[in-house]
Amino acid sequence: MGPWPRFLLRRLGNLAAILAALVVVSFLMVRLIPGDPVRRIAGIDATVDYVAAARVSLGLDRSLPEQFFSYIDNLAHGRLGASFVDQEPVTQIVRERLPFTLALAGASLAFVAVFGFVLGLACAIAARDGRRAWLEHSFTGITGMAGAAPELIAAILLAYVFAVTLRWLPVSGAGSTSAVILPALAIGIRPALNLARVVRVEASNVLRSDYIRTARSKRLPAWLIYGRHMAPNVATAALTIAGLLFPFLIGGTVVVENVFAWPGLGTSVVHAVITADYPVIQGLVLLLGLIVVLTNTIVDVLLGILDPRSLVATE
Amino acid sequence: MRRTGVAGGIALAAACLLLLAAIVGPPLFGGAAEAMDFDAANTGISAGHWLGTDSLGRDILARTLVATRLSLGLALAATAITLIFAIPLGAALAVSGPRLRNIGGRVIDAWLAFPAILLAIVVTTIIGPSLQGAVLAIGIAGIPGVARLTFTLAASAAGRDYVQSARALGVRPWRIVARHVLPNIGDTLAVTAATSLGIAIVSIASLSFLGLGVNPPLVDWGRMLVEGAQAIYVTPAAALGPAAAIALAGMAFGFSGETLGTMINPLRRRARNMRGTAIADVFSQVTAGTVTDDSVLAVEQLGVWFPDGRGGRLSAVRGVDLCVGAGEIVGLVGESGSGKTLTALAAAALAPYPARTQFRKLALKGQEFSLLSASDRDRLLGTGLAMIFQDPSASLNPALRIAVQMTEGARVHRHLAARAARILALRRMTEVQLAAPEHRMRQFPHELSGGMRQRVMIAMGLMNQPALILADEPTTALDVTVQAQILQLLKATNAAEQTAILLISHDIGMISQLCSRVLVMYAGRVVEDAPVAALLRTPAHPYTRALLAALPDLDTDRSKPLGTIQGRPPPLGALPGGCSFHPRCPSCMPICVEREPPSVRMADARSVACWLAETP
Repeated sequence: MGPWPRFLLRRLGNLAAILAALVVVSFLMVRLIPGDPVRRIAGIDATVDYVAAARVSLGLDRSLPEQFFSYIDNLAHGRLGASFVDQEPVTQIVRERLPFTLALAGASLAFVAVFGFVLGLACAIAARDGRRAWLEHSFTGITGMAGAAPELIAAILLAYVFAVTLRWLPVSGAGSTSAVILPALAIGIRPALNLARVVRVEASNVLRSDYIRTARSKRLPAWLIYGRHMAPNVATAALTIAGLLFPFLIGGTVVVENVFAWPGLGTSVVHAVITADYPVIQGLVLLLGLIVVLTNTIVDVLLGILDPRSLVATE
Repeated sequence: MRRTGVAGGIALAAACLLLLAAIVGPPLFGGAAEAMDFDAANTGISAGHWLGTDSLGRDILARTLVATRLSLGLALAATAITLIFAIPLGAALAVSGPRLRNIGGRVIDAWLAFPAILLAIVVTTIIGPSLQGAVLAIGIAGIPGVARLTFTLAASAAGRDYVQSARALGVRPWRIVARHVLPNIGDTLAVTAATSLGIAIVSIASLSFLGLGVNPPLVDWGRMLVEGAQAIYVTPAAALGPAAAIALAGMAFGFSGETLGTMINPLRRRARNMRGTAIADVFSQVTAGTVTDDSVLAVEQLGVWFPDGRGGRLSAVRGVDLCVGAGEIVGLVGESGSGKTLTALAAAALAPYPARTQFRKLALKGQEFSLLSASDRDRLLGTGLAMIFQDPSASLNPALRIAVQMTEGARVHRHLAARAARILALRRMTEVQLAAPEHRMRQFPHELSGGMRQRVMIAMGLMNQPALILADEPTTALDVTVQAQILQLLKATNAAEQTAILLISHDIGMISQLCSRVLVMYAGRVVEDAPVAALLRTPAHPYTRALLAALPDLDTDRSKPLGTIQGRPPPLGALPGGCSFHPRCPSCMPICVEREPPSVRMADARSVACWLAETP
């Protein structure tokens, strides 16, 4: 078997294992609630009949294995149940809100990738072999400080400066295209600066490597040395980090959507937790988890294409 | 150290202040924080209220200070949960069997790939949106990261020799962890604990902000931020106060970790005291060497120096004269640190920053560098000179196919079309006896053997028909059997194409087999430059003699130990006065200590820099 089939097989195995774990966790989540979850939803003053009816509609009246198999059966048929609060089907919520979350995560990912990569490379080139030591120091200091600022704080500060004080951008909602800018920045700024740090270190090492010396000994123009000989070797590390950062971006959307009242899955899932709307929580946790797992797999495959050594390195 | 010193000190001080606020905040400011003043509701920053007031007229600063206790307390509890589970988990995996370790590692990695907030949502759903739920959620979310770090650190600590021997002696795993592993990684774990605390502060604030943590009537910073954000148009300070507190606390604990680690383990301080003392250059004493005009490479009075950071110079190469005639193979020999590689790199205008190069003459194919524009010089070097380095596996770009690396030089400097460059590359690869060149062109360097890679390097160098190849230890990194083949190939190339070669090596035996002339370098100077036969028969410099004496041949009496050279070569910046070799020289004379010998041209086309040569 060649390296690619082996690699894909292993990745698929991993993917299946994690998905299975995800399904089990989302199933057990409601069953692990201490006390009576139905009572918690229905409220203390609900009638016994109402509680019994709710128990049946949740399927909590049957045995655990029975519940699990019907859960799997429902998932296999794309049935995610309906909200307790307003009876809206979870699939409908997903259909309405997923595009907004993906747009937000995509915008911040684009910002992270471009800004982090360019900033890191530029700094590494300008400070190569120990030139301009001040640049390296201030870069490390600034990215270290700003890279520690959490999304929540970044969101509040961005809203304060650009929406409240300067009034350049809308403070909430998704009414216009420009409304995506502030939340995307709030999510992306920390990962972008962290990525820039990693890219700088990685690019500095690449610039010290023997093969860059070989490229220089061929007297190639600067754009070939940096574009062809340096960038691809940094891209592998950058993509690895970007893959690790993606879960943070998804996590960031959950927090930041709530700051900017962005109509995505994040506002929906938080609202569901507060109102104990279990079908919605289950469905959205499953979906957000799925997005993370799929992205990680895609990043691994991309890495394999970019750097064939990584196919065997992880064995 | 300087940077972590200042920033770390500030962070540590800030962390201490925050802890103090957590202790004295509620008793001191509790009253002020609860005092409602409806006349002064939603005021901005003022003398009476430094951060303004909220909608009930309560002082934001006082409320922020009071909320410190709950915010820090919850974060501490969450961090404690993280550490109590993560460290034993990571340490246990590190000393467990390979199977369990593999599975455990995968589970942790998968867990780590999940956003903490999703995990927090799952935990909060089970426990209910509450203070306990938030603490447990953030505590659990922190486990995989710390467990992974502990695992990595502990695995490397457990791999050390003394732990291995303890294990071989039958010491139980948990004892190994307690005795050998944990004490060795304690400082890093302390750093991690502080960093985790910083993350926990921010995460719990985020949960409270979302309504999944602290709920009224209790307040922490995150809860305050909710109220502040609602009033951000009216009184921005109401949001900025708690926001600043969260950011400050997150950073203070995050950064003070490194300082704590340094205090626990002084070894973390990186000492960087490797600067010696500068020496004066000695160009004036040196007389001209052997530079002829029909040479491929002509170097006169080449010097390479590094700034020592205090306005002085550390000379690594001094007054080197070097001449390679057309079709000639010249050897450059010396111990590591003698400046031979730097000489070659400087001759190719590739001396690494911050090295500075100076020369009276530096010419390739009769064209003087100082008279050329930068682009003309690049063209000249790109076509006239090829370099082959020591380690072919590191010298080829791992991310590019051989075809790209083979052809790019010819395409850039000779403007060959892709097809023509490809045909030329295939021809060159055949010439260096690479089998299946078509196939090789599509491969990546890691798919080739070491010998094949060096053949690719040579073929690549030949693409532009260079007049000179600079080969810096071209066989050192290769297997012994392959070494001979590569040397044979270099020799054949020299014979077939009349390509001159400057062969750099520490191996005077190898050099003498291949070269017609040899230069011996010591401490940045050429101490002897002679035709190979003369050099082998009657080495003139005591250092050359010592090098040859250290070389075994078929006639060597194997009952006696091989000759060695006493002492070590002097480090850069700490050259002895007079002749640099005098402390190690068996024939040292009084003058050798006082003055550096000039390079003297002898009758047999040889130059020697030794007082013995002047006064035999």
